[in-house]
Order: sequence, then structure tokens, then C-alpha cells
Amino acid sequence: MTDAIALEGVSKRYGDEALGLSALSDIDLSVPHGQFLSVMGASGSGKSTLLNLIAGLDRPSSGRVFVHGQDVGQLSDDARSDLRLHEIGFVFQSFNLFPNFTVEENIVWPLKFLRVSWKEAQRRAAVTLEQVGIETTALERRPGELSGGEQQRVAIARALVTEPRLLLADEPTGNLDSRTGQAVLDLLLELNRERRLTVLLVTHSTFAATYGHRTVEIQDGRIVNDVHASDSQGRIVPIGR
Amino acid sequence: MSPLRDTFRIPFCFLRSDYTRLLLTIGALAAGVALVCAIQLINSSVLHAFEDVIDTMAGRAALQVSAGDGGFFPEDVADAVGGVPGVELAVQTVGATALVADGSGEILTVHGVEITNDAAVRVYQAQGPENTQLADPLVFLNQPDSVMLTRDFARRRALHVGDGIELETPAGRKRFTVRGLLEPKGIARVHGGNLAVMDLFAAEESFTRPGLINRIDVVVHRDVDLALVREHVASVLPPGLTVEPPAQRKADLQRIMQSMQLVLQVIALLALGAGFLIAFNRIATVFERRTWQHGVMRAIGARRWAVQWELLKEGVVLGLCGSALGVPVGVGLAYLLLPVIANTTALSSRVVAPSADMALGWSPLVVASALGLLTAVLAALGPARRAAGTEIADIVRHRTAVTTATRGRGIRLACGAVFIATMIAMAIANGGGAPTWGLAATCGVLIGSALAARPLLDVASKSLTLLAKRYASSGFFALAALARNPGRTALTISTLAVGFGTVIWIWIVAQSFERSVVNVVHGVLHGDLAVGSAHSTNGIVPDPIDESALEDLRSIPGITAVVGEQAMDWHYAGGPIVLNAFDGSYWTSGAFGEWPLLGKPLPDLAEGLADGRYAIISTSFVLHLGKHVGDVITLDTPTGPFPLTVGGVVSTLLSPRGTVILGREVYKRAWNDPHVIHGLVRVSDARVDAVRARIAAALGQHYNVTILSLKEVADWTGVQVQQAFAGLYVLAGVILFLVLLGAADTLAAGVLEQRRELAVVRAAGVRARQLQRVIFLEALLLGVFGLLLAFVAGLVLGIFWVWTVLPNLLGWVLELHIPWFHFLAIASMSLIVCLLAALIPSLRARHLAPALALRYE
Repeated sequence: MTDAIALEGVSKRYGDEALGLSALSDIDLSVPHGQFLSVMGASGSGKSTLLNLIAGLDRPSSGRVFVHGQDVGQLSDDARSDLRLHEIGFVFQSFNLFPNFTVEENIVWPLKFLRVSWKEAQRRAAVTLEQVGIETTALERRPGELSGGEQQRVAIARALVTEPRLLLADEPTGNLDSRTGQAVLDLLLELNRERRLTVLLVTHSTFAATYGHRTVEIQDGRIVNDVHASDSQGRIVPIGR
Repeated sequence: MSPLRDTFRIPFCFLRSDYTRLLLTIGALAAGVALVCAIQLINSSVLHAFEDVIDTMAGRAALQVSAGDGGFFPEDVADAVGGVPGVELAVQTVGATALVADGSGEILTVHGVEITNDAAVRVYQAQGPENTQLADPLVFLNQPDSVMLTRDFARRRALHVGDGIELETPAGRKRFTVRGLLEPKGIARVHGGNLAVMDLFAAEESFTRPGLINRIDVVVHRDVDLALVREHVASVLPPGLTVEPPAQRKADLQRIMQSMQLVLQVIALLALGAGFLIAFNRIATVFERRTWQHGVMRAIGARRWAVQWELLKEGVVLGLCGSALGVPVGVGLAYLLLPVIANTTALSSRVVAPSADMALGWSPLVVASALGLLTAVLAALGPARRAAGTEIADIVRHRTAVTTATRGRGIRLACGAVFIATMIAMAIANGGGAPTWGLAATCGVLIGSALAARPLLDVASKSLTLLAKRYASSGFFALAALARNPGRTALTISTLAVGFGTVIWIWIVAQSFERSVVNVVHGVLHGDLAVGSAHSTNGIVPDPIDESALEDLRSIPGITAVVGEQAMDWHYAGGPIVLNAFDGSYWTSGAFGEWPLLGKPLPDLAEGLADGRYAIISTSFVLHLGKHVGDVITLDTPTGPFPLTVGGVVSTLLSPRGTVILGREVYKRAWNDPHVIHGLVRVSDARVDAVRARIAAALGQHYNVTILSLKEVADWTGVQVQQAFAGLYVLAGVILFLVLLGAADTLAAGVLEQRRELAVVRAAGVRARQLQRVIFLEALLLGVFGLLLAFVAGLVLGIFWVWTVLPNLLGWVLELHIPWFHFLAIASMSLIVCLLAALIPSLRARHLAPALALRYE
């Protein structure tokens, strides 16, 4: 069985060859299905570039990126969009909920691009919202009327509603207080366990990284550490650096 | 849940975010749609009305014989025509118009036909036992004052058989007796039932002269070759008479009117163009503000084209709303403008305006709606492509709006290309090319002025910023705000330039028309007083009165000289011209002064005009028919070909194609026409008012004349022209309204986008009032930049239209009048419009809560 994600000698440079900035250098990484991988690193280390390459939002300068066996770099723009729509859920640091949409509309709209009828999409939205711990009474509210934690849960519901196999979370707790952040991380872990959802969590927080089965640390565009879980709950022990 | 609603779910979710500002966009589109719809409706209604008159008045006639519009010829021509093989019936008719002499201003169309000839009457479906209530046929025929009116007309005026009605006729005011009533069928339904049918003999007595008619309606046998019959009929006609089918007359009319209709359509499309600019600006702004949301959609898996399609749907929704609002407004506007435009069309086409009824058809509504929808979709297309094509990664992470790419070079190149294309179009139009070249050049000037906005903004903002840094902090902030989104600012300046430019252009044309007409009146009509009919069927030239009025004038004490003037539509070289005849003493007596002739006339011009050897031609005749001083022109007349040598050239506006001025003695003989439109009077002493009173007492009652000084004639004519242009002023008003919306929209968008900057400025201690001043300065700068371009575009277009387009398109050769003083008024008005547009945005800026704005950001 192929890995959920596989990177083979992936490098990414911005600008020209001589003077350009190297964001990633010769990355090899494979993520099995159902793994919760934390990618850690300081600001500017290249972790977001890694996420963008996996999501097909960007193309590698060299090397190959596979998602569920598909070479993302070789796919057309439309095919990469389809891959994201069908296979990948995206959770952002700043939630990226549309302020003028209701909670329900925020969850439903990706299904419109899958040609799901609005009625069916509404039903799925209500189910998904309950799964992320938000009461359906919030469906008609606007994002601005929710707390940060609730907004991130709605964003997770939006990512899950298309039933992806891979969830990419880019600093999902970055805009939350520690308690709310922890609750969001608990939710991601729960989804990983119950749905066998492959989760790739990008974070600069050591604590958040401990939720993964495995933590990859990136520094200056290179993987400098790759630690697998060692405790009984499947979470790694904090690196403590 | 309907699939349609499902389809538009996402666009509706986005659009509902800002109803107020969407209303501005919808309003702009609606205004454009309304104008297009109104002009479409008006054009088709006016044409339909004119054609309906031709159709109905022709009845069953397949051919019509006439001597131009209104020329008289002997009745016996009909006998010759009736003898042509294939002709079933040749009906002698007299057609005229008469004012009801009760001050109501109502006009009756007079149709004179042999009432005893039942076959002739049935040609028009006007009479028959079932359709007519005729009290006593014998009395009707024996009494020359007998008329039949339509039931509708009689009911409106509570007239019954036996009642009297006074009409103004060329022979003076006459009393007629109603001796029959017509059902509103056939010709009785044209002109809203304002028809008087008379016996031919009586009509001749009152409106032509005994034995003279002005039309023969020819009914042909079935299954004959119409072209062949027409050829045979033409061969038996005396010179000066023409035979043509009513369909040909309709085609001619359509050709005459299409230029005017084209001008109106271009102006309406310009309004839609302004709506496009505003919608484009607004949609681009909205999409730019939402760039991160489009990025999120793409990141989550929406294809590029799918996002683009969702955004285009927003354009579709806006277009549908604009059309839904614009069409009913357009219909209302059409009802309001129809009489005005019908008169303007009649004036420009030199035809009598019928009472045009609104012909509401689906086609104009559908065309206007489709154009509105297309405009909105086109306006959304570019912004949607850009929005859907932006890089996703950074947008998603930082929610960074994409900065408008600098396209200065591209725009400069486009500007250059448009400039060259416009110059070529102007040159071709100037060289006598098809009128469409003139319209193409007009569009080129407006597009060029729109494109020039960006380079102007770049240059002006750089140099002004340097000044503002030193001397005016508010100015610096205002310039910085405008430069923040140069694309949008340039679009707004474009909108202002196109809008104000159009207003200036219309103004120059209208002023040139008015001043030219007034100058022509001063140049051609000399004397102390002008006596003419109080009634004018075409709105400009008084209706003819009998020349016996001149003799009556000569007998009034205090009058030293009287000259008669007649004007009549005629034909020359396959098209319409006007004949303008003056008594020879006008030129020879010296009592009426010199004429303002252009160029060098023939030396014995006055004598030649008086004895019928020479004629003076108008500048439009020179332009369109290529004749000059010394050339001989041969006019067909009802009495045979008549050669005249061109003795001079003068500026006159009686006809767009050309006017021939000749001696009235000759004219009267050759055209069998003893009528005049004016009696020009010289008074012996300065007591003009006393003489005027005497004329009124002597002629007023009988001929229903007005007695005006020449200045009053000029003023009255000017007022008529102003009224004719009233429709265009309304169009200009709508365009100004659109411009107001556009400027308001940009300023409001600027304030919204700069909430953070404005909040920081406020937090740093700048007063709310100072912030407000910055917004007003922005508006002023926008206005000034827009006006700069507008003046250039408006001036170029105004001059180009007066010198080239109007002569080619409508035929008029005008003097150029640039109303510099009025420009100041337009500039002030434009700046006031801009300041008004800034009012609400400035209040929003003033009431901005810094803490709240900063927190939101």
C-alpha cells in the first residue's frame, strides 16, 4: 500500500538559481496512512513551504511529491484542485472563514464544487458540525459571533465535510489561547484515531507537536530531526529542546 | 429548493455583504439599461408613427404622384395617369394641415378627395355607409365649408353634425361646418383621429388653389407589374412630378431618420459604457477585497474556472438586477421623452411630427436587458479572471490582497493605438467617408480619454505629491490615498472623463446649433417686423398664409416696404432640398440691407435674383451637392425644368441637404404657389409698436398671425431649438447621475480599504474634521483630473461633430460656438458632483472609531 504522502529529494527555491532563496533542500519524507505527523520549525524554516508543496499549491524546484500515490508536481492545475477537493482537508491558522457566510454556508460551500445539492450539503454540514463539537443551533450564526475556538472547529468541519483522507493543518492553534488550542488539538487527535485520518500538523509549538505520532523538525529548509512516538498513548515525548 | 437558486447560492452569499454599495452598481447599470431601453422604444415608436401615417394615408394606393412635399400641380395630371395601362384608379387629393382656431394648439390633418367618387373614397377605407354618418350628401357637396370629422375628435370637443369649427388656413381663418362624422377606421385613425375630410373642390379653395392638387394616389390592377406601371406613369408626368410607392417613401423616411436615431443610440450606449466602467470598478474592488477568500476556495480544491464561474455569476446577478430595474425606468423615460424626441426627429429630418404613440414591443426590452446583462458580465469577466488566477499560497496564509499590477506600459501602448486609430477614422470621416467613421472616431476619442486616465494619474500624482509634501499635508494624504489603488482611481477618472466629456460635447453641439440658427435668422431675415402664421406644423417654420396678406400689410399706415418670403420642401438630384423664395425688392430696394454672403458673389446678384436668373445656395448645398458660384442648377418644377445660375452662397439652416434661395416672383409662377410664410416689414419711423398694433388689428383676426420683431423671431427660433435639444439634455443629466455614482463608489471604497490607515492617523492625533478634508480633497483631485481629460475629449468631439460628423451624418453645416463661459458652469457643476459624491464617505471617515478599526484589522 502506498503512503499517504511521500517526498523524494524535494527542493524549493524562490528566485533565480544563483541568488534565489532556498526554502527547502533535498527533503525525503514518507507519511503512512493514518499517521499524525507534526512538522515543527521556527518561523521561516520552510515548514509552510512543505505544506504548500504537499497540497499542490506550489510546485517543487526539484524532486517529487506524492499524495496517495499521485505525483502532485506532474498534475495539471485542475487535477491538483480535484486532489485537494477530494483527498485533502485544509485547516488554517487564521481560520479563513468567510465573514459574510453563515456557519452552515461556510461548511457547505466546498460541497457545491462537488456538485452536491444544497439540501444534502446542509444535512452533511449539520452532522459534521456535531462531530466537531458545535451545536447545530450555531448554523445560522456568522463567524464573527463565535469564539476563536468555535471558529476553528467550524473551519475543521469545513475541512472534513468533503470526507478527505488527509488533513493538513497549518498552525491551527496559532491564533488561540492555550486552553482552546489544546481542545482543538484534542479534536484533531480524535479525528485521526476515529477516522484513520492522516493528519499533518505544521506548528512552531513544542506542545502542539507532542500530539503527533511522529515529529519532523525542519531547520533552514532541511529535516534535522525525525522522532517517532514512544509513549503508550501513541504520542511522542516532548523533545525538550 | 430550486436548482436555479442552488446555482446562485454562493454568489448570493457573497453579494449580500454590502447591499448599499451594490445598489450603486445596480443603479449605474440600471441607468444605462434605462437609456438604451428608452431610446430603443422611442426610435421604434417614432419610426412606426411616421410610417403609420404614410401607410394609412396611402390607403390601397400602390403608387403616389407628388411634386415634392406640398408642391401643387394641375388636377388634369390625374387623367393622364388614369389612362396608363394597369392603373385602376388615379385619385386626386389635397393633403394639408390646419390649426383649430381656438387657442388649443390642436392640429387637424386635412384630406381633400372627391366625395362623389365612391371608388376614390373607398381607397382610404374612410367612408362607406357603415362607417360614415353624413347628414345630407348634397348639402355637403354644395357648401364649400363642409367638413367631416372623426367621431373621436368630435366627442372630445362636444361637436355634433351642424356645429361650426374655425380653422387656420393659408387663406386665413375660416369657419367650417361639420356635416358628417367618421368612424375611427382607415385614415380616420391617424394623428389620433385629428382628421378633417373635405370635398376636393373645397380643399383646393382653402388650401391650394382651384384646379391645383398636391397628390395623386394610384391604385393598380391586381397581377400587374408594379415597376412597369410606375415606369409608364412616370413617362406621362410633367417635369417636377415624381411617382413612387408608399414603401419607397417609408424607406426614404427610414433613411432620413436613421442618422438621428443612430446619434441617440450612440449616446445611450455611452451611458451604458459609463455603467460598464462603474460596474467594472466596483466589481474589481469587491473581488480584490475578497482575494483571500478566492484563495481559500482554490486551496480547498475549487478549480480555477469554477471560482471564476462563481464570480461571473455575481456579474450575472448584478446585470439581472440592473436590467430588472432599468427596463421599467426606461419605459417610463420613453413615455416622458417620446414627444420631445419625436419633435427633435421631425426637426432634424424636416418632416411633420405625428402624434407618436408608444409602441411597446418585446424587442427593445429584450435588447436593453441583454445589453445590461452583457455589460455586467463583461465588467465582471476581467476582475473574475484576475481573482481566480491569483497565487494561492501566500494569500491563504497572510490574507494579502494582490496589489494591482502596474500596467502603465500596456495602457500607454493601448492609448497610442487608440490615438492612431481615432486619427485615421477622423481623417476618413473628414474626407467624406461613411458617417459610421465619424461615430467610430467618437468612440475612439472617448476610449482614448478613458485610457489616458492612468498615465495622467501617474504623472500628476508624482509632481503634485512633491508639492503637497512641502505645502499641504491634507493634499499629501489625499494623493497617497488615490495612488494606493491606481487602477481603480484611474477607472474613476475615466468614468468622470467620459461622463463630463460627453456633457461638454453635447453642450458644444447644442450651442453651435442654437447660435447658428439665431445667426442665420439675423443674417437672412432683415426688416423691422416679421409677420407670419401663429401656427407652425414642424415647430420652426410658420405655416404658409395667402400672399394677399402682403397687400393688406402694404395698406397699413407707417409701413414703407413689405417683402414676402416662402419656404417649401422640394427635391433636387435625387434628394430633398428646401426652396426659399423672397420678393425681388428684398435685394433691389435697399430697404432691407445687405446679405451676409460667403465668398465672392456674382456682381449683379440682386438684379439676377429679382429677375429670376440667379439663385443663392446654402453652405450645405455646396457641401453635399458640390455646386459653386457660377454653376447652373436646373430645378424640376410643376411647370417644367427651370435653370438658375448660382450667384452666391449663404449660411442657412432650412435644410440639412441644401437650400436654394430665389426670387418669389419666379417661384410663384413655376410652382403655382401664392403663399408666404413671412411678410417682412420696414416701418417708416421708430414707432414700431404702434405699427405692430395696427397690423394686429388689421390682419390678426383674419390670418391669425403673430407679429414679431426680428430679434423676437431669432429668440423664438432659439427657444424652439432648445426644446428640440431638451431630450439630449435629459440624456446628459442621466450621464451626470452615473458619474456621481461612480465617484461616490470609488471614494467609499477608498475609505473602507483605508480603515486601518485612517485609524492610525486618527490614533496619532489627527482630528476627524481634518480626515474629512482629506476625503473631500480626494474627490476634488478626482474631479480635476477627470475634468482635464473631459475638456480635451469634449472639445475635440464638439469641434469634430460640428465640422465633420453633423454635416456628414445629419447634413447640417453649423458655425462652431464654444461656450467657454458655460464650461465654467459645467466645471463648477462637475466639482460639486464630486464633492457630493464625497459627502457620505467623508462622514464615514469622520465617524470612524480608531480602536474598533485597528482591532478589526
